[in-house]
Amino acid sequence: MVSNDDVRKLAELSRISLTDEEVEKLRGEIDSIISYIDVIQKVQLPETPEGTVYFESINVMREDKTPHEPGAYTDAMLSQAPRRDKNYLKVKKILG
Amino acid sequence: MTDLTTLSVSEMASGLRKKEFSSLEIVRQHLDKIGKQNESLNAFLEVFDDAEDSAKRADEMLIKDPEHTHMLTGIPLATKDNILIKGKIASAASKILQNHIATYDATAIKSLREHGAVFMGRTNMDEFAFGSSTEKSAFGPTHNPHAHGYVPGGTSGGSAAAVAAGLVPVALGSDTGGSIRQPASFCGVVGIKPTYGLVSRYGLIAAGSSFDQIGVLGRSIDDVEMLLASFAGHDTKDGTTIPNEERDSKIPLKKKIGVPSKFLEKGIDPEIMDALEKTKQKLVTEGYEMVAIDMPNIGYSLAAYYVLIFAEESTNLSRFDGMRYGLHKEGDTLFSEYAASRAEGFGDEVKRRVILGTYVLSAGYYDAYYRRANALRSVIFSDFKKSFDAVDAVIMPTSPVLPFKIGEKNSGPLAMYLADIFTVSPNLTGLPAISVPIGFSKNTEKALPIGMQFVGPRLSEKNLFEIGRAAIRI
Repeated sequence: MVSNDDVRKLAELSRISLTDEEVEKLRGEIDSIISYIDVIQKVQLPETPEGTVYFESINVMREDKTPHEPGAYTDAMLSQAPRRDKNYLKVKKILG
Repeated sequence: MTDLTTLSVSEMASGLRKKEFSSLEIVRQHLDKIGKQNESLNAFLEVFDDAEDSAKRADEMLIKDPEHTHMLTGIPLATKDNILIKGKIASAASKILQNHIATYDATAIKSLREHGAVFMGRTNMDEFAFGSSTEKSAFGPTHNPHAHGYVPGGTSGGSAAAVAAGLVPVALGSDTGGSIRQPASFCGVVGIKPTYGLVSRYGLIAAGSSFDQIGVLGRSIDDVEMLLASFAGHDTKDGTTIPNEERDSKIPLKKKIGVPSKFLEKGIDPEIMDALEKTKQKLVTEGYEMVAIDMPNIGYSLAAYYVLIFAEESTNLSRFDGMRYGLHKEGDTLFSEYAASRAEGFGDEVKRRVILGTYVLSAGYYDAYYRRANALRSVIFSDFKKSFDAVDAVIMPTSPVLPFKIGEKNSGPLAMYLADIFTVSPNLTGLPAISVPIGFSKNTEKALPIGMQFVGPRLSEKNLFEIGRAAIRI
């Protein structure tokens, strides 16, 4: 069972502000969903892992060099920024 | 003038080359139909104002250099709102990205653009592809073209409805846990989720990165097969795509279909059970043998899927902070700006899943949930792998329920999750799966489409198309 304080803590970790009403509603929903997914606690799992779904996936490397001209995409990317100062994103002060 | 909106892609392509009609005429007829029907269907979130220009360019290509055209040159298609087209809004049906303009083309889009396909518009979906009915869109639900007031399925519900209503012949969707197959089933069209790694995910707004695949919806298997082949391929921008030289494995068709009888014992609508029996009989008359198979762990797939998907979704959505792109809300501190932007921008289902993902990934719960679910993932894969020694594919209904009324499953989120029982296992295991339209319900107020699903081994798409053709051959 999760408490309202648990939900508030999870919401804080998730960077989402919730109203008291939302906290109360989510508490019940989280409880019912967790009790459903808890079925996985019952299954007997093999000692050694079986074949993986990622097949024979391997790390894909690229040459360690500049992939494109510096600044080639800067304008396009920054065009979507809510607050911009020249080529910087503008955010609230984070150091006192 | 003949109605061009009922033609298949190959009929359109052939007519274009015989100069029976132009791409502009095809596109205009589809735009007219969209104009008449979209207000009540809400399949498209936006119809692109440059579709006619693209059609004119395609017509020029067909006149000037017909030998270098593709079967898709001048063919209209729709794309789901989570696939990036440079210069167009890509919102994933979320308020947080409502005004977000894509700064580059998805790899799939780049291929289709090179082929001269005409992008008609972006289709409605559940916000960030979290849902199973397209009711969770921030921009209103889509209606099922076969039954107004009913859901089209989800999350690619807009694409499925557009194809079923004849607003486009084919559409792109994405499938994380059934999001192409289930709406295809609900709308009476064909839908395929390819093998994980067949198609590049570059430019697809991520939901669950180890599950997501771009795939196709269409009115015929031929159209779906052709469209999928046109943009599948290795991509250096997606390290999980399969190298091209590993792709031409031809898997011999044994003409044997696995039936996981125990898994199909309960919880399925009787009309869907009837359709399953009829499909099995039909395949027998087509020379297939039905083989009872045991998949002891498949019953755990839904729970394992939700643990992993919550974890991946919450991780993927951490990038939405209101700073780099998307909706931004003012606050007193940086933290309050994050929390307010996300609270305002995300809908209820998205908030719920982000918080559940945070829960299952919490230090104290990681072993009990994430690690266990991941182990189950390979156990379920091994169930499938053993079955494929004896059979070409496993048959299951696409959905245990018929299309339901808009609002009917809003009592709690779990009810909606349970409807994904048959579609999640291919995503958990990276396997390809197709949904084909089998028929309609008889004992319901309105005749509602029913779809049947076939799951095959890795890279067995060709066989799945073949089996699908046999299952729906008249």
